[in-house]
Amino acid sequence: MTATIPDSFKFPDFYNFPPFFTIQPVLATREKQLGQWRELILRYHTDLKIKTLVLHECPLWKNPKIERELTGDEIRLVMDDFISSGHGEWEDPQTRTRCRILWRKPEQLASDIYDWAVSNGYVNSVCTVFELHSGEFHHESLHRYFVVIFIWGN
Amino acid sequence: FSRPLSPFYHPSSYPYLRSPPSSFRFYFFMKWALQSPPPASRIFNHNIYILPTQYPMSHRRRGVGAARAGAKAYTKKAEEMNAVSLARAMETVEKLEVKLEGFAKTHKHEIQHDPAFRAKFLEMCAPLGVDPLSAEKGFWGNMLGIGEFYYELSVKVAEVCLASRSRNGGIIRVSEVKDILTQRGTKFKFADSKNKSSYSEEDIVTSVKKLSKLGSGFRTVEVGKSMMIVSVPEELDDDHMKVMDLAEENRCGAYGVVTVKGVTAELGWDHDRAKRALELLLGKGMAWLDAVGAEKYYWFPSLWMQNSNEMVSS
Repeated sequence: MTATIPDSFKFPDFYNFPPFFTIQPVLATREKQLGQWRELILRYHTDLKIKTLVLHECPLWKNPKIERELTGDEIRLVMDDFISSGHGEWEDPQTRTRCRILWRKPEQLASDIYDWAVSNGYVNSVCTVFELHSGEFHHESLHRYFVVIFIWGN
Repeated sequence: FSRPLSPFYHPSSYPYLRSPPSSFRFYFFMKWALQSPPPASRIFNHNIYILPTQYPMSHRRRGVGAARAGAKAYTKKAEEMNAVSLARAMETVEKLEVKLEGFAKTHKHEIQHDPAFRAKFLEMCAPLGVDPLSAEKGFWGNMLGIGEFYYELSVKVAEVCLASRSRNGGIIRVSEVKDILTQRGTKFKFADSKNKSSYSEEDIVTSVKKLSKLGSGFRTVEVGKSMMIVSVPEELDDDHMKVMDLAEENRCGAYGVVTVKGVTAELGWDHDRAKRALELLLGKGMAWLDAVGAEKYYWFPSLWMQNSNEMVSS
């Protein structure tokens, strides 16, 4: 049962370009295309605040308006590229059906936290997780979900 | 007898002076006939018609020996007359330049701000060899400063082309460039910035011409009804252009798409030639592959974007 895409999500122009749903044979063009897929997946999940991508439930692989869709192999290719770029992680590495989307990369998050710590005088001191995301001087981008990922990934 | 035709029929060598041929004189005739023609004037191809009445009696009806000497005299006269015409023409051109400078001064504001007026003004300058676009310190550079304007515009156009290169393979429509630039809200440092500088598609084409002087392969080509800018140095031969024309004119089912079958049907090529052209365009990144089952469609991103916008808005 694929989720329905809410109307508020604005699709990029290339989503209606039929060749977008065929993995390009020419390498240079393929690089560009995979980059566009990465961008699309990331933006979709970030804007709608979805944490996990379930492979067979994701509505992005099909565009009924232009009657095109990605085949199973192509989906796998796109996902492999997405994971290797560091924006996601397999929750089940063996079966590879669920992927946790990292809205922000761990490195980015780490530097965000460090910057926050420096600007609020928390360097070289201990602070609780609560302070990080909801305390007096908390950083806007640090929501509870992020912190879970951060600890888990640390 | 019928007059033999001179192999170099130039009016100034018209055989007014030939005497009736005879076997003896035929030899000299052939020598004369095979001489090279008088030098053509480079700038003004006036036909110099020398009427026999301009010449003193002694020149007329000489023997054949005079034909050779006569040809030299004609050449000399032709050069003299050319020199006179040239001097007169140069004078006229100088007068025109002065008038043009005056015109530019009075209409400076329109030239700087109105694209249509600017285009007409450049049209006027072109045949005179005046190039107001060179941003040098001469009269034109300082006064109008439109050299600066085109310089800035060409830099922005180059930016847009480079940024879109990975998507469309280095070929892009002029109107798309204009849309992107207007969307970005680019301002120019040139002229007063309180009036929004307006520029037209002709301005973009002129700035690409400026860019092309730098080498690097920037040029414009016409595909169907639209003008495209090519920013890659690769050659686009005739076959490719014909295929893109097909795609642009929507002759294979939709805007910006082409199939091998479509190409063979519309252009009458054989299967291999069509396939080769399409594969080459694919390899350059100018076409993207769309495989639906067993069917293969070749889409051109540079020709597609525009029409998708049109279709959405209509």
